Parts: sequence; structure tokens; C-alpha cells
Amino acid sequence: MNKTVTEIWNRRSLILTLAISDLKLRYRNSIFGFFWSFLEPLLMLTVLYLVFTEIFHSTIQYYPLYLLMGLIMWNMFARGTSIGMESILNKSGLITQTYLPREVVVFSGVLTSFFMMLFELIVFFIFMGVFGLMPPVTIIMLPLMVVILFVLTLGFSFVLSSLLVYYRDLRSIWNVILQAAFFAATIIYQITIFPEKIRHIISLNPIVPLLDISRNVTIYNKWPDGSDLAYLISVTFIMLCVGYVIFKILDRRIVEEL
Amino acid sequence: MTNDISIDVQNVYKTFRIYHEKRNSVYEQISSTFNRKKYFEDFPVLQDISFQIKKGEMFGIIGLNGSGKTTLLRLLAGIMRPNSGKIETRGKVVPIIALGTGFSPDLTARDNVILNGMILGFTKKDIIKKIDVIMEFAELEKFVDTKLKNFSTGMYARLAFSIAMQVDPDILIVDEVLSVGDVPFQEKSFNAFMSFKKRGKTIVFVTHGLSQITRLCDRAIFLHHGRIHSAGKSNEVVNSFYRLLENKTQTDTGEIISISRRYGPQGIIVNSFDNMIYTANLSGDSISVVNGETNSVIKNIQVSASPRDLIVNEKTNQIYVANRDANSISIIDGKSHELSSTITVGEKPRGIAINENLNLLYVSHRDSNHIFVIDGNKNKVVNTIPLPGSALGLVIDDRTNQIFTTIPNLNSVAVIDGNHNNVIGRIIVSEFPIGIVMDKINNLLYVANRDSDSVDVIDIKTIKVIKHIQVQNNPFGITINPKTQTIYVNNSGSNSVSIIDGSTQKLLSSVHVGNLPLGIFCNPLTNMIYTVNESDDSITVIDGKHHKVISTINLHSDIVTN
Repeated sequence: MNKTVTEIWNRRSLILTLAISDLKLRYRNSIFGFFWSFLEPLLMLTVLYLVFTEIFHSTIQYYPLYLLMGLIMWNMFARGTSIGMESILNKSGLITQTYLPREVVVFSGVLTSFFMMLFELIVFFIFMGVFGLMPPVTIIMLPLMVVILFVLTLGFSFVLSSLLVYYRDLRSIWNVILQAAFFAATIIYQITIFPEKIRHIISLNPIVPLLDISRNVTIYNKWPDGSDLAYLISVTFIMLCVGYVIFKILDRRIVEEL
Repeated sequence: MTNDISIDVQNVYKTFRIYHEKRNSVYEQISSTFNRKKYFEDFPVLQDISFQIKKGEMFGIIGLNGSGKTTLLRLLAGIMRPNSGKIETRGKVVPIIALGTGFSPDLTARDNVILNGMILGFTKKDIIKKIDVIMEFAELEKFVDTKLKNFSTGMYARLAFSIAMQVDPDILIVDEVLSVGDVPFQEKSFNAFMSFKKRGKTIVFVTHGLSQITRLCDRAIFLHHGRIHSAGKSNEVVNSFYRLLENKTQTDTGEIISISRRYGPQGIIVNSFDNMIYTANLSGDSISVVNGETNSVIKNIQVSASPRDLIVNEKTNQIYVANRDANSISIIDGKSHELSSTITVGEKPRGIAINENLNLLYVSHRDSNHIFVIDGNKNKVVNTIPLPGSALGLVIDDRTNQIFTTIPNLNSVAVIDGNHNNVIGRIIVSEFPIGIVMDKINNLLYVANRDSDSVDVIDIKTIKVIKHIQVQNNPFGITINPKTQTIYVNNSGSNSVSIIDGSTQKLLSSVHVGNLPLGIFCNPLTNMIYTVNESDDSITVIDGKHHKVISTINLHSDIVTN
């Protein structure tokens, strides 16, 4: 484990370069280029905002900001795990022809979507300004939340990327899971929308406390609850460890299966 | 691993999973757990591969498609891991396997160079500094900001190659590179390799261009069905490749000429228990198995390059074959007649003897002044005995555990103490001693001296030559019937066998056999003597009672299965 950390650290500038060229590739041949990073969440926001305020009459305070924060963070997770999942397959040419620790590829895949999230967060703060809302002092907790989200996404990506090499239909399965999770989490609505009986099950999903804390510290000027934070950090850490162990086991024969 | 070794490969095995019906989806995986049929098998890609590459050496790997070359390169580069065995490399390794596969066609040449350089271990700063040099070497200066999808295959390859050359690794692993690019670029790459080599870097090189191997490489190995078929100097290995695959050979001047498919048997041994005769066919890279009852060929077993000599352990019924050009010993199971294992020995093994009591094998070498001692139980080299010259014939006295070996170039027979594995004496004999045999009852050794057309008789007790018997031209192999104490000598120059009486050490008679008789062996139980004729691919059978040729076995005759 220690050896891997140093290996990844030594390759940090490669990881960064890989992620940046991935971004370049993602927006090639498109007129708006990087602006899609801003446009995409805005368009999505508009649609959802109209649906939930006009049709469902949501009563959440600062609902557009609430929704936008939820979307940005969820996008990071969904996109990150999808790019991360495909990273080994996409870079199979590289992996079968040169010696490259496979972790590097997964890491840079998650990093690509992390960069996209950072762009989207800029949009978020512009929006806050539009609403005339100043960032509260509790916002100093946001960087921690962002890091937790990154690590959580990485943990999932380790499992998914190596498993996908062996079972290609994981791709479709994961898409369905993401769809279901989108509605089973508190992205567009609050936890109170769920019947009381299943609320504790819903909050087992680490995304739920993560969104909760992130919104509280950026919009509502509320410090996070200690037990929520502890739960979130431990789940994230366990996910990373379990994910990495599975990755290492599957990694042994990965070149042959590619 | 000593300092001058840059790559050390030991007993490497690699298997691939071959799916009968690849289950790549979860549904198929689940349904197959109920359906108990085994859906994959492990296919051996590389078996028992051992070799060492010295620092500053250019090392070639040749073989047909699917022989395991690229897999071996990937193992050396650390891309894959072997199932068992050990691979050690010293210094930075850079593989160039399938050029340019790591490139992104939608990025510019500049971006790709940066990315590729960083993958190969450059820092971003360093690679940016080198972009101009790389583009210049690749002759692509004008296209530095062109997207790679507009490049031709040749341009791709040139770019990839130029990057790799700038990395300046300690070990460069190259797969089929010189075949891409135009002639001037090939010349340029060739020069780059040579300057690389001059700076003491190691290059491992796979190609189908055999002339490149002889031109560039010092040494090479030839992979055949995942095993090392031959190893050694590159021109010799290329020769064995031609011989096996195309019935062709390369002359000293580099021309390729056709030869007729021959066995060229040189060694022969008989298992007296089951009356099976085995010949080592040096040119055919095979062992012929002959049933001594019916004198019919039962099987031809393909072994590694140039089997020169062989021995049977009658207790365990295993046959050990010294493959001269593969630097290995093949072990054949005497019952199933299947290849069971190989042991790597020194350069050009050519003689082999066994001490059945201790189950120890002794192997003499042409290009190494050592006798290798192999433990027959563990199939491992347990000792090496240094000699004053390169040895050929071997005989063991299992009562005193002494080994006697002929050293042709020094006109002598060395006496080795088998307990301490050192030379304890040397006897000067006539010119170029080859075959050696022992008469245990009279305590005498008989040595066939090829260049003096004679047999020297040595007294084991006094370690002195006591008699000099003149035979016919170029005596080579020698054998004894321990029951009748009759000695048989092959005169390879006059196509005859001289028969010597062991009690009087007098020439009794001689019989005419086939062309170029080399190996000879006696089955004391049936009192039959078998001599193998190199030029005829045949065995002449002599009746030991009447000293008459009774039949000739043609090794090419149809194989009879019983």
C-alpha cells in the first residue's frame, strides 16, 4: 500500500497531464468547448427547477441553490465513476504496451471529472451572487467535503474499472444503479419526502449526508453534525480500502483479459 | 545476480486462460455456475524459460508467430507477471512494443510527445526541452502541431521510436521496429541502436528479419512452442531456426540454401530392461525410439536444438538428452515417451553420463570448461566441476565414485573425484580422445583417439596407459559388453567397427557398417551391438556372438505403433 502511494505520488504530474488531455479530448470538435461545463448544469437546473417549483411546489429555502449543489456533487460522483469505470478499457493500448501502474489511469479518470466539478462550482458561486447571498463562515468545511467526494468516487472507480475488464455488461448495470440512486438520494428533494420508515435506510447512502453537510455549510450557515461527518468519513475510507483490495486482486490478470 | 548481468530469467512459466466460450457478461457467469462444465483451460504460452543477458549485449529473440516472443517481452518489461519463475532486471527498462499504440489521434504531436514521454518516465520540463530533438530525429519538425490522426503509419512509428530513443534507458526492449519506416529511417534506427550498444546499454530485440538478428545481435534464443529450442551465438541460432522450420540452412557468407531433411543421429543408448533403443538426432532435433525386439521405429520425439548425446537411468526409466544448441537437458519419460521437463546447463552440452546409485548426472560442454552435476531426484544443477579444457566423453566408476572424462584438445583424460567434485589427475593419451569406456572386471579404461586412429588402454589403479591399439580411421564412439568383456569401437572414417578382446587387449576382427558411424552401444542382455550411422540416418545391428551385421534399421521407416 505504501509503495503504491509513493508510486502514484511520483507519477502525479503524469496523472495531471492525462486528466488534462482527457478534458481536451472531451470538448474537441465542439463549438462551446469548456463552456459546456457551465452550460450543462445550468440547462439541467432550469428543467428541474421548472418541474419542481411549478408542478410540485417545492418549499425549500433557496431551492435553486439547493438543487444546483445537489446536481454538481451528484454529477461528480456519477461522471467520475463512469469515466473511472471505463478508464482501463479506454487506455488498454497504453496498458498492454508499456509498463504503467493501472492505478494511475483510474486516478486520472476520476481527476478529469473532479476538474469538471470545479468549473461547475464556479457557476454555483456566481449564482449565489445573483441571489445576493454571501458565503458564510461555515464554507471552510466545503473543501473537506469535496475531497471526501473525490475519495469516495475513487473507491468505487477502483472496483468498477477492474471488474468491467472481466464483465463488460457492468456498464449497463451501473447506469441503472446510478439512475435509481439519483431518485433515492436527496438531490432534488429533501429527506422528508420519503416515508419515515425508510428514511434511515436512505441516509445510509453516503451521498445523502455528503449533500446535506455541503448544503448546510455553503448555503445555510450550519456546522455539520459530528456523527454524520464521522459516518461519512468512515464509509469513504472503508470504500477506498475495499475497492483497492478488489482492484489489486483483479489487476493480476488484467493485461491478459484486455 | 552479478554486476555484469542486466536481465536474469529463471524457470519462467506463463499460461493464458483460453475460454471455450468466453463469458464476458454477468448472466453467462451466473448460468455457467449451474452448468458445471469447465469453460476455460490454462494454455501454456511459455514453459521453463531461463536465460541471462549481459550488460551491453544485443540479444535477439526469434520464433514463429505464436511462439511466445511478445509475451516474453511483456514479461521482461513488467507489463505482465509470470505464473512462476523469476525475472530480474537491472536499471530502467523501456519497451517499444507495437509502436504508437499509446498515442491519442485527436491530440497534436506535441501533446502526444509530452504524454508519451511522461509515461516513459520523463518529467514534464525535461520532455518539453526535448521536443525539438525528438521531432528532428523523426523528421517530422513541420508537423509538431498537427493532430496525430493525420499522420501515416510510418510517421506514427517514427515518432514513437524517436521518443523511446530519447529516454535513454538502461534496457531497451524492441518488438519488430526496424520493419516499419522507410529505408533511410531504418538505417538511422540501426545506427541509433549501435551507438546505444556502444554506451553499454542492453537491447532485447524481436524480429522476423533474421538477417537483422545475425547483423545486430551477439546472442539469441529461438522459441518454439513456448520453449527455448536453441540458444547461443546469433548465427548458430538462426541456423537452427532455418533447419527446423524450412529445411534450410544459412552458409557462412549468409546465403540461404536448402538441405534435405535429415536426422543426423550421433548418440545412441539402449535400455536393456525393456530393450528400447534411443538415438539422439542432432540435425533433426529429435529422439528416435526403436523397439529392440522388432527393430522398428516406434516414435520420434521432438526435443530442443541439436540433441548430441543421451543416457538412460534404467532404475527410474528416464532418458536424459543433452541438447547442444539449446544449452539444456531434456528429460523423457521412458514409459510414455513424452518430454517431461528440461534443465538449463552450460554453453553447448555434448556428453552425458549417470551414476545410477547416487542418481547424479554429469554433463560435459563444448564451450564451457566445466562439468555440470545434476541431481536426478530434484532435476537441478547441484554443482559444477572446473576442468583444464572442454570435455567430451564421460565414464563413471561407481565403486570408487570417480569420473573419467576425455578432453580432446588437450589429448588427455581427466580423473575427477566425485565426492569432492575436483580433478585429481590427468592422463596424457593419443591425439583427440573422444569415446571412453570402462572394463570393471579388469579395471581398465579404453579411450578412442580420433586423430591417431588408435585406442589407448589405461590401468585405473596406476592411472597409466598400458597399451596402444591401432584401429582404423577416426575411431569415435566406443562401448563394451561387460559380460563378455568385448570392446567395440566405431571407426567413423572407414565405416567399420573394430572388435577388441578385453582380456588380451588384442584386435579380434572388424565388421563393415553404414556411413559415418558415431555413437555405439551394447545391450549385454541380448549381446547385440547398435551403431548409429550419421550420414545414413540408420542403425546397424551387430550380433555380438558371431561378430556379424544382422540388420540395418532405417530411422526414416514408417513409425510402427504397438
